[in-house]
Amino acid sequence: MDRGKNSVLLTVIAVATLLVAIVGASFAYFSATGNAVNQNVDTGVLKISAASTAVQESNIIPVDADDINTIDKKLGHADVAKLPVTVNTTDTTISSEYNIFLTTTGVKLNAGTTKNPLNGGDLEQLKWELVQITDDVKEVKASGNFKMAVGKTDGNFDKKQLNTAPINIPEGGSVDEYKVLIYIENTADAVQDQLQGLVIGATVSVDAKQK
Amino acid sequence: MEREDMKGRVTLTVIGAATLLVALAGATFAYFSATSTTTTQQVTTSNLNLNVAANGDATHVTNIKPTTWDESVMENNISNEDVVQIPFKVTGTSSIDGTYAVDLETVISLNAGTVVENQGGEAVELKGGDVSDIKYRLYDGDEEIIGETAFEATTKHQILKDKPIIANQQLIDTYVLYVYVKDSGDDQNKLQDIDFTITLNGKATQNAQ
Repeated sequence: MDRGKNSVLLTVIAVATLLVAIVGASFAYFSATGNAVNQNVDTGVLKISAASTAVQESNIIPVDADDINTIDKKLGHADVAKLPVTVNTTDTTISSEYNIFLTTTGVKLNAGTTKNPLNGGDLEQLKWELVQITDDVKEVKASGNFKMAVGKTDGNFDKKQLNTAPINIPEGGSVDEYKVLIYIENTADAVQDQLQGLVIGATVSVDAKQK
Repeated sequence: MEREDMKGRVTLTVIGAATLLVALAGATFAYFSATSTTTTQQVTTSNLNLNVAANGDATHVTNIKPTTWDESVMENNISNEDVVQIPFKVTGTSSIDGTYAVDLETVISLNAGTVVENQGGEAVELKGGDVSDIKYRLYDGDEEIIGETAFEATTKHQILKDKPIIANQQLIDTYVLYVYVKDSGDDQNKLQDIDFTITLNGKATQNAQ
C-alpha cells in the first residue's frame, strides 16, 4: 500500500519536475556551434608573355647555302634577318606547355612595274627558321619556307604554328629565348628579282595550356 | 540529451556536404590557358632599281647623210645636222651597292634596191656603202668614253660597264650617244633610205658579298 503510494508520489514528482523543467526552458530552435575550419584553396597560375625587339639585319639579299650552313653562320650573317623573341612563363605555377605561331604580311612576289617588270624568284626560296637559344646552346626547333599554297596569291602566314611539338613549361615557369630567322636562299645563276623590295611584317604569338 | 545532440550534428554535416557537392557540380570544367602576342616587326629585302630613259629629245635623227667627225672642235659635231645625238640617262634608287651596265642593240639592213631616182629624176645605181660605215661615239659630258666604233648588221655592244650604284643614293648618270655615217670618200649609196632603231638596255647587279 505504501509502495504504490510512493511510486505514485515519485512519479508525480518526476513528472512535475519534468514539466517544470520543460516549462522553465526557453523554447528556442535547436542550435549548435562548433569551431570553423579555415582552409585556403589556391588555384594554379598559367601566365605567358611573348615580347619581340626590332629585327636584326634587314635589307637582305640572297645568300649562298654554303655561307649559312651552320647555326652560328646564320646567326652571324648580315643577310639573315633575325627577329628576337622572349617567351616568359615565370609566374606559371602549374605544369603546362605552349606553342609558337608566326603571322606575316607582305609576303608576295614583286612584279615590278609595267616599265620595269621584275622576273625570277619564288617564295619557296624565302626561308624561315625557329632557333631556341639557351645560354650558349642554339637549337633549330623548326624550319620551312613561304611557298604559296595552291589557290593563294601570297605566301603569308596566318598564325602558322612553327614548333613541331609542344614546348614544355616547367612548374615555376621559365624564360625562353628564340630568334625567328628569315632569309633568301640564293639560286645560282638565276635572277630572283621578284623577291626584291619586300616589306614583311612579322608577328609572333604564343598559346599556352595546362597539361 | 546526448543522443539528440548527435542527431543534430549529423544533420548539419549532411547539409554541409550537400552544399559542397552543389558547388562543384555547377563549375565549368575548362582547362587553364593563356595567350600573348608580340608587336609586329618588319623584315625588308633589298631593292636594286635601274631605269634607262631618254634625257630629252634626240636630234638630227632624220635625213642624215655621210659626214665627217670633227676631232678638234666638238661644237662642230654638236651643230652638225648629219650627226644624230641621243641623250639618255641612267637613274634609280637602290638599297644596296651594285653596278650597272648598258647594252646598245640594233639591226641594220642595207638598202636592198639597186636603183634609186635622184632629185633630178635620174636613175642612180645603188652601190657602195657598208653597215660598218655607220659609227657611234659615247660621251659623258665632255668626256669621250667610247671612241668611234662601227655598227654591225646585228649589233649588241656593251657600251657601259661596272658603273657604280651606291646604296640609298639617287643615281642619275647622263650620257650622249652620237651616231653618224662616216664619209668614206666613195659611193655609199646602199646606205641611202634606210632606217634602224637603236635600243639601250640597262642591267644592274648587286655587289658580291
